[in-house]
Amino acid sequence: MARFDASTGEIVVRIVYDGLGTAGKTTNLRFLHAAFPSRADDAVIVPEQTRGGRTLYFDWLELRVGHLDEWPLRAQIVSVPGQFVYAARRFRLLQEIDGVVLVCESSEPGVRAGRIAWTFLEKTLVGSSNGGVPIVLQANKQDLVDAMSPEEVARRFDFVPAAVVGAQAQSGDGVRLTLLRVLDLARSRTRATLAGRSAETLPPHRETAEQMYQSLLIEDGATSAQLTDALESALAQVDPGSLQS
Amino acid sequence: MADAKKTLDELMKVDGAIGAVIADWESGMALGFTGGQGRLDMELAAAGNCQVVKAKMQTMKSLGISGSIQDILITLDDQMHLIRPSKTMPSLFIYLAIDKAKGNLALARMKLQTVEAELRV
Repeated sequence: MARFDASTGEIVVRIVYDGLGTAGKTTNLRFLHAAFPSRADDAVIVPEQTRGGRTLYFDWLELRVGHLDEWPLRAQIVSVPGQFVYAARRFRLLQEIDGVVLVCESSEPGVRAGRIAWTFLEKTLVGSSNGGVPIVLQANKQDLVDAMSPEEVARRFDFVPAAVVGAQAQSGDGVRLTLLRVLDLARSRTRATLAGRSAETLPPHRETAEQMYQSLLIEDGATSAQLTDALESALAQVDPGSLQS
Repeated sequence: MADAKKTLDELMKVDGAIGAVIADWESGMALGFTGGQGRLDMELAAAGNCQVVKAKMQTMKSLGISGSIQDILITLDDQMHLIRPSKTMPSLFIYLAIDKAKGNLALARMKLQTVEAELRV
C-alpha cells in the first residue's frame, strides 16, 4: 500500500513491472527514464545484471508523478527478475505494491510465458493479502510478425485486467500510456484507502533501492543457508555404507 | 476511432497549428506530443496546463458546479491555446496551440471536438 515520506511530504506508491524474462520490462523502465528526465532524480538503478543485460535483482526508477489531491506523489517503478531461478526475489518485490503491469510478449509462445507469469503473480498477490491490486496487461512487441492484437492477448488470460495496452517498448509506443493507466488506478486505490484522511496517516516511507537490495541479499543468504541445512539434514539420513556400493 | 498518434497528426492539420499534446491532468505527464519546435516546449506546456485544468476543476467543485468542462481557451498576443478534457478517459486532456494570425478559432474548436470524440487510448 501507499506510504508517506515525512522527509519530503510525498505520498509514495510502488508500481511493479512483472513478467517472465525478455518480455520487455527493463526496456519499459529505460524508456520511461528517457521520456521523463525532469521527473527523475536518478537514472534507472540496476544493482547487478548478467553479462547479457538480464536483470538479476531488480531495475528501479523513481519519478515524481504529479499530485494526489494536494499531496505530491512519487512512484517507485520496479521491474522484477523474470527468470524462474529468481522466483524468491520476484516474490519479495511483489509485496506491498500499489499497481502491477504484467508485461507479456504478444506472440503465441510469449502469451504462454505470460500465463505462467500470471499464475505466479496471482498466487503471490493472494498470498500476501494484496488480491485487489490493479493489474494492467501490456501486450508488448506488437511489431512481431506473429503478434496478436492486445484484445486477443487479453482473451488468452483467465483474468480480466483493469486495462490492456498494446506496446512496442523498444520504440516507446504504448509505454507512456501503460504507466499513465497504472498510475491512474494506483491513485484511485490510494485515494480510497485515505478516504479523506491526511496522507500523514499512511504508514511511513518504505525502503529505498539500496535498502531493498540489501534486504534481498540477506534473504538470498537465508535461502542459501536453508538449502545447506536441508542438504546436510538429508545427507545425515543417508547410510554411509550405502554410498560405497 | 483514433489512437494518440493519429489524434495528434490530425490536430497538426489545423490551420496555424503550432503544437499539440495529449496529457494526464493529474500527473501532468504527456501521453504524446507533436510540434512546438522553437516556439513551445510541449512537455513543459503539458505539465503547466495540467495546473490550469486542475485549478478550474477545483474551482467548479468549490462553486458546486456539477457539469464538466467542454473546453478552455487562453488567448495570448499572438497565439491561442485550446484545452479540451477527454470524455472517454477523464484523466486526459488535449491541448492545442495555434498561431493567432494563421488560425481560425471556430474551426480549431470544431476540429478539437471531433478528434477528442474519436480518441481511444
